[in-house]
Amino acid sequence: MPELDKYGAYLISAFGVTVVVLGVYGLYLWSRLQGARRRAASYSGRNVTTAAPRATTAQPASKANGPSTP
Amino acid sequence: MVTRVLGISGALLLAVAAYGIFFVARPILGEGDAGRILYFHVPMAWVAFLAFFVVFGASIAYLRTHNERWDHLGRASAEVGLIFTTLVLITGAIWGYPIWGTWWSWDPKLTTTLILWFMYLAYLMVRSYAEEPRGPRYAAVVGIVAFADVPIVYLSSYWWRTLHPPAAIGPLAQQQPSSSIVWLLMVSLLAFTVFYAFLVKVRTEIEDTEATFGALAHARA
Repeated sequence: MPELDKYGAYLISAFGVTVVVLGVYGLYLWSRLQGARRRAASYSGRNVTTAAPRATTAQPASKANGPSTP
Repeated sequence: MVTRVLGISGALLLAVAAYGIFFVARPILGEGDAGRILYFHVPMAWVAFLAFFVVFGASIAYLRTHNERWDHLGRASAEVGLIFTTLVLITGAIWGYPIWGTWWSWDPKLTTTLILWFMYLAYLMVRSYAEEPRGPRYAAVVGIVAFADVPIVYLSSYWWRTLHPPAAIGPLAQQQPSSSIVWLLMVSLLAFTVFYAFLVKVRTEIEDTEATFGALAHARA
């Protein structure tokens, strides 16, 4: 660290406030973005699951009248 | 990918600028080490002006096209610009105290900057609290009107007698500073501009992702 004069404390204060505010704001935005991405990914994953064909006991439409007798 | 590159390069450039401020720059005559605040106070003011110019452009584009991406860009840039303006006011007060003997003065430059801060706070409040179909439209109008204050802030030290010194650099500068000051100012300006681009990119992505998520949820309901 260089030697600072009697005004050095003002320089350090102004620089410190800038670093803390920009750092905290940057981290806050980054974590919000990760959260939004996670939510969107899990939501679209749920939608895909909902849209996927399910195992069912229903008969196919072609056999709606029941099994044909031999 | 672009977001990560902007974030990493912005952080590296800011680190280089910080090194320059503390280890390369010389104290400014008559102001001692407090004068080094110039190297981040001035670039942050320029980046705030850039941010509000982006809000202005995005607001016009939104009113013409009604494409919500312009609204997202305007909102993101206004928020980041407001953060930078806050820092300009705080670092200016810290710089002003040892040089002027006061934290604050109702000087034209400081007062018009404070008005600018309130105008973009109003933009964000309108955008957040007005109902959805009208909110983006009203905010876009505020974004266009508020930009009128930016040239007033810049020119205030030429139009009126102020405590605040006139521009240190640029076409209106009364005396060009030494090349070492210009060099470090340019590095710092580049660093803050890249970091601004990173913050706006992240903020816009949040808006886009949440809008897509909201539309999906709405469609499902």
